[in-house]
Amino acid sequence: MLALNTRQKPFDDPRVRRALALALDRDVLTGRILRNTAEPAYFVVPSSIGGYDSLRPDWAALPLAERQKQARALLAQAGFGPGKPLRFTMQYYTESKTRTLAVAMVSMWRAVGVNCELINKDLGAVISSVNAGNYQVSLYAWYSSFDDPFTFLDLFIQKPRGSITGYANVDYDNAFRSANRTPDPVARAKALAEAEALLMRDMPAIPLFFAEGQKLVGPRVGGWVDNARGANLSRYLSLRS
Amino acid sequence: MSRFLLRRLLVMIPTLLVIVTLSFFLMRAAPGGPFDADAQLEPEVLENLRAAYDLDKPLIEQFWLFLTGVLRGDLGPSIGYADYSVRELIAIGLPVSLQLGLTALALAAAFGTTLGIIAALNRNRGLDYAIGTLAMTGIAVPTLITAPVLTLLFGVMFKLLPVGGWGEGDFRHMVLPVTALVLPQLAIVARLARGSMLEVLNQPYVRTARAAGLPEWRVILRHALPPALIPLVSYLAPAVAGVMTGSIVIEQIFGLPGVGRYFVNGALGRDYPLVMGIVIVYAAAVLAMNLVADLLYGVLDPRTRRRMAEA
Amino acid sequence: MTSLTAERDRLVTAAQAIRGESLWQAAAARFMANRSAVAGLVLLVLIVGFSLLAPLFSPHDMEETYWERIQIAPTLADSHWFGTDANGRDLFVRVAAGGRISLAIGLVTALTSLLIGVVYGAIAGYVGGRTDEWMMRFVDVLYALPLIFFIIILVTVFGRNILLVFLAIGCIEWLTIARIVRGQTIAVKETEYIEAARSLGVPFGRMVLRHVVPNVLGPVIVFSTLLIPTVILVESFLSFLGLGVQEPSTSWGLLISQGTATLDTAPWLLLIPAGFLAATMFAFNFIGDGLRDALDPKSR
Repeated sequence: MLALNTRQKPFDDPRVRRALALALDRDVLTGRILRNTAEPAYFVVPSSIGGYDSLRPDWAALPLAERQKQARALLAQAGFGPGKPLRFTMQYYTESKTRTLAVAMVSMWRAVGVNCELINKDLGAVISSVNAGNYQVSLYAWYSSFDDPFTFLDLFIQKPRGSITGYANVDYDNAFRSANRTPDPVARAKALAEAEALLMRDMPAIPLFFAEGQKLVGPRVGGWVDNARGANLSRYLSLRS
Repeated sequence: MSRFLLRRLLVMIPTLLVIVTLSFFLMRAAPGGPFDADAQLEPEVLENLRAAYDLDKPLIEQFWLFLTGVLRGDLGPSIGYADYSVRELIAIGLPVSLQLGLTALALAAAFGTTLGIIAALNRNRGLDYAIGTLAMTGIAVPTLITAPVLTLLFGVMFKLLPVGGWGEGDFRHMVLPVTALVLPQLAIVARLARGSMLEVLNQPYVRTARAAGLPEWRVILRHALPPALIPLVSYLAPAVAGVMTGSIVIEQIFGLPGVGRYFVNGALGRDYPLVMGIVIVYAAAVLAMNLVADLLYGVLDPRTRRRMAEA
Repeated sequence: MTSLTAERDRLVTAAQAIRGESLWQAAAARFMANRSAVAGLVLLVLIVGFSLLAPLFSPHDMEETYWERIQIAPTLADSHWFGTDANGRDLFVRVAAGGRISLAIGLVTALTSLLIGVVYGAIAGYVGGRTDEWMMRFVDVLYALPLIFFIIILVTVFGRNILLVFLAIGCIEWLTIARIVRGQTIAVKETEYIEAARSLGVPFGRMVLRHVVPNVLGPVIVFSTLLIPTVILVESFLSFLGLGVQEPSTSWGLLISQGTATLDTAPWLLLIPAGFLAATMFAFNFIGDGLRDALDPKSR
C-alpha cells in the first residue's frame, strides 16, 4: 500500500488522496510488472483472510480513462491544475520490484498532471520515517500472523503513538471497535467490512496489491496444506515413494 | 628494528581505541534503531526491549559497558539474530570469509604478479596485450555478473560443481566463489605489477646488475622484483584486512555463511553489538596488516631498512 | 661597443627562437606517438560523444514509459535500438544518460581522491618520522571505520545531492592511493635526484610537488585507471542506501545491477551497459598506460 501522511498538506484533503488512488492502473502494476504474482487491491484487508469479504468500492470497476478523468476533476476541486501541479515526494525501500513499481506509479500520476519525486531508502530508514510521521507518501507493506482482518484495520485507529498515516477519525474508531466486539462471527465480519468501507471512502492509505508467494511443490510431497501464511512446518511433511 | 616494531605495536592499542570510539558514536548518530522494522510495538514493549539491550541507558554508560565487555571478551548479544551472541556469529562467519578471501588473495597475488612481470618483460608485444585484455575484462566485468555466469556454466550446465552452499568448507564448494573473487583482484594485481615492474626495469641499479654480467633471471628476481613489489604490498595489505568483512556479493550469490552479510544486514538493521564486534575484528586486522606492510617495505627495499634501523 | 651590443642582441634573439621543450610538451608528444594510447583516447571521446549527443538522435525521452513494450529486445521498430527496460523505457537514451552521470562521477571522484591521496601520501612519505606515523594512523582509523554509517548520516543531514556521491566515494578511495604513494615515496626518498634537489635548497612545497610527485605517479596512474570502473560500480551500491542517483536519473552502475536481475529474460539490459563500461575501462587503461609511459622521464 501507499501510506499518505494525512497530517500534512496536501494529503489532509481526501479529494487529493482519492485522486491519486483513482489514477493508478493496478492491472498494469500486477499484470505487467509483477507478472501476475500479486492480486490488485482496492481495499486494505487481503482477500485471503478467511470468513471475511471486503466491500468492493464502485470505482474499482471503472475503466482507466474514466478514473483519470475523475482524478483530474478531484484535483481541480482541490485547487491543483496545469498551472499549479501537485508535487510531492514518495519514498520506497529497496526490494526486488519496488523500484520498477515506483517508476510506473510516477508515470501513471504524470498522466493526470501530478509530479512525484522518488526517494530510495533502505527498509529501516523508511519504516522509522513512517513511524515518526516524517514523510509525504511512502511505499508500505503490512502482514498479519493470524487469519483475521483485525490487524489491518487496526492500523488506522488513533493510537497513543500516532497511527502511521496520522489518520484521525472518531467515527471510524468507534465503528471499528464496536464491530470488533461483536460476538457473532458472521455479524462481526459484516460490521468490520462496513467499517473498512468507511475507511476506504477516506483513503488515508492507497491499497495497491496483495502479494502472493509462489511455491513449487512436487507430486511426491505429502502433508502440504496451502494456507494464507505460507507456513508449512517440515515435521508435517513427508516424501511419498 | 625491534624498537620500531615495539613502538608500532604499542601505538596499535590507542589507535584501536580511537577507531572503536568513533565507530560507536558514528553508528549511534545514524537515524533509526534496531527495532524499527518490527511491527509497531506498544510503547511498554518497546521500552522493555530497549532495556534488555541496555539501550535506554545514557550513551556514555552504554559505551562504558561495551568497552568493559570487550575487555572481558564479551561482545554482547546480537539484536538482529536473537538467539546468538556476537562472538558466536563471528566464530561462525569469520573462518568462512577468511578461508575464501585469503585463498582468493593468495592466488591473485601469485598469479597476478607473475602475469604482470611477464607482461612487463614483453612490453607492447602480443603477450602484453593478451594479459592486459584479460586483466581489463577481469575488472570491467563486475562480480555481480561473473558469479551467476560461472554458476550457470559449471553448476547447472556441466554439473561439475555445486551451485552454492559451503558444505563445511570442502574444496568443491570453494572453487566457484574463489574464482569469482579472484578474477578482479588478479586483474588489479597484474596491472599494478606490470606498471611497477616497467618503472623498476628502467632504474640505474638494474642496468648496473645487467652490466655486471648477472644472468637475466637473477637480475629480474633478485634486483628488480623486490622494489617492484612495493606498490603491490601497499595495495594487498589493506585488501587482506578487507577480507575480514567478507564479500557481501559473493556470499549472497553462493549462499555462504560468511561475515559479509552479518555486517551489511547488521548495519542496515542497526544491530549495534554485531556491527561493533565486526568493526573491532576488522580494525585490528587493518592495523596489523599495515604494520606487516611497513615491515615488508623494509625487507624489500634496503634503503628503507636502513632508515628504520636508525629510527 | 655597438658591435658587442648587437652581438648580444643577436645571441638573445637566437636563444629565444630555440625555445626549449617543456616537460609537458615532451610528454604530450610521447603520448601522441603511442598508438594504443591514442586509440584509447579516441574510444573515450567516442563514448563521451555518445553520452552527450545520443538523445538528439532518438525520438524517445528517458522517462517515457511504454506499457505495451516492456522489455522488448533491440529492434529497429519504434526506434528502440537498444530495446526497452522493465518499465518500458527506451534503453538507448537511458544508456546515454547513465553514461553522462557515470563518467562524470568516475572522473571527478577519481581526480578528487587522486589529488588528496597523492599529496597526502607524498607528504607523509617524504617527511617521515613522527609526522608520517601520525598521518598513517589517521589513514588507518578512517580505513577501519564503517563508512556505511557516515554515508547514511550524510544523506540524512544533506539530503540527496549528486555532489555527495562524489564526496562520499572520494572519502573512501583516497586512502588506498595515499598508502600506495607513501610506499613509493619512501622508496624514492633516498635516490640521487631527490638528494640533489634537497642539497640545492629546494623549498619543501616545491620539493613535494615538483620532484617527489612526478616520480611516484607511475603506479598511481595505473591504479586510478582501475579506480574509475570501481567507483562507477560503488555508486550503484550507494543508490540503494538513498545516496546516489535517484529515479528517473540512472547510471551505468544502476543499469548493470538492474540488468543482472533479468539476465535470463532480457540479457541486453545487462550486456549493453556492461559493454559500455568495459569499453570505457579499456579506453582508460590504454590512456593510463600511455600517460605513465609519457610522464616517466626514463622510459623508452
